[in-house]
Amino acid sequence: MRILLVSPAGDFLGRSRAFADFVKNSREMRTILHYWNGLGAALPTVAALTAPEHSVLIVDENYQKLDLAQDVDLVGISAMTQQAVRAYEIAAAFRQRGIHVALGGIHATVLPDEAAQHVDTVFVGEAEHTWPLFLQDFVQGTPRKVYRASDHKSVDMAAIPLPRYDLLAETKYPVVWVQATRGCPHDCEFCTAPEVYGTSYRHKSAAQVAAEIREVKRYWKNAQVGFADDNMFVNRKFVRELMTEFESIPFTWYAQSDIAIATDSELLRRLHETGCRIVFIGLESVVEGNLVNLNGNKWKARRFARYGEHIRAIQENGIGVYASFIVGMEEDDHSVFNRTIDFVNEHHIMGAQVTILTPFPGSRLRQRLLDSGRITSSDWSLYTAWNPVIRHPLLSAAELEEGLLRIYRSIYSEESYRDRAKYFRQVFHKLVPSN
Amino acid sequence: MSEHPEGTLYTGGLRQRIEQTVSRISRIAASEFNDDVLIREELGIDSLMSMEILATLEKELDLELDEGEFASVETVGEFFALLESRYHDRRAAG
Repeated sequence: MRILLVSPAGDFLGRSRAFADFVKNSREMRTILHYWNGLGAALPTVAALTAPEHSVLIVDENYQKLDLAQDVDLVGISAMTQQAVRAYEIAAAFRQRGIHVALGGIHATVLPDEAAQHVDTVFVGEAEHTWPLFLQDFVQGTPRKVYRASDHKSVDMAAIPLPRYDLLAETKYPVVWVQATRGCPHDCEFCTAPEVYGTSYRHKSAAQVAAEIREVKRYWKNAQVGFADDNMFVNRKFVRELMTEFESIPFTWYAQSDIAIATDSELLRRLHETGCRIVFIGLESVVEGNLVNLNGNKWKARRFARYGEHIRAIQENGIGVYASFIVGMEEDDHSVFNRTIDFVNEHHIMGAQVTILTPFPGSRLRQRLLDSGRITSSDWSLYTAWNPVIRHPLLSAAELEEGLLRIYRSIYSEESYRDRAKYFRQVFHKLVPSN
Repeated sequence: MSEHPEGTLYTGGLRQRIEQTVSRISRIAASEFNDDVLIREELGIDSLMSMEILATLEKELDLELDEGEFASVETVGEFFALLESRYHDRRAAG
């Protein structure tokens, strides 16, 4: 059987023409987008879960052209919410020719009933148990409409096979994403991770992750490795094992983390030694009041006062912080844009991703804003987090878009870049041992 | 070596030393540093890594490097040529 796996084209920056023009003319933004992209681990993992008697082709529409007329027996698509519209278009094209289409990934997991209207089979949750089962059913002519991970025991990540990175070896990716852990303990209101991965924190074995990195380096010898994990350093025992494995692999890498790593100086030293160059941290807001109701235990609110100190601790170890902020949160007013700019510049933050509050399906935020009638669009192609799809009490949609652009223009200006470069040169001077 | 009048022998040693530093920071084998290789696109050296490389070389080689000059550098060969040039300028200036 010939199986085609597809990652649909995504629009990662929204539809603002002014923003597109800015990106076009900003060297630093182009660099960031270049590295904040790349090959995700989902489809290579699904390919590895496929029995060897089937042939598998992966097409990543963000890098390759998809031939909707190609001759295959089965199509599997994985999509995030902002890719859903394109995923449904692809599904329609193949189904028109009588080809069975299955859809999984975040969007199908959080909105299976919607997905079921567009495809033949829907995967809800992790596919490690359900994809092989579906293939057996499909071969026997009895595929089901829905396969739910929750109908099976929890996925043991240590049993996940080596992803089939070889299937995309011809594509030049600047970053290849590897997954070491699943889950995050923080349960932020806007996040869909608890719905997708459940509440338990799990990980692969350190040796398994090392084998995956070696596989990635086999095909993309100079690509950076990004860890797709929502919060990679939660289990410190596992992290220490990982660092030991990483010592013998020449590579540089990015990871996502919470800010708790800042208080572990030994960990920070080890991260830099083993090639970690950037940590992406969700600081979420420069307005303290926004953090109070973000997660049940006020985890981020309790750390807000020490954000600056923590950022300094991380960056002084030679690791750049790429901070994530959201504008349009409940306590924001017109000052949030300048306050965000000032915070990024004052703390010499290496980079920042600033987005507009977006009520992604599957999040508690979506339900709250639906209940109060404040969602202005459910056109999933607008759910990039760069387009306003909410009604804010004080800020209009235009003000959110304009303010967002103003932040980017400022923090990625040549002047800000020079300031950051000067700061990091000083940091690295201190890290170089004296002769 | 440092007193070699033409700099040829020195340049060979200097290049090796620079390669070792770049290799240690980028974690890329020095054998990859062929002159026509693109620094960003092919070696994946991003802006933070380039800051670390320049700062380290400044300290190791007792240089002051202008990052603006490196912004326009595209290839490994151009990168090493610029560094070697700055190194010799520094030595000539005493």
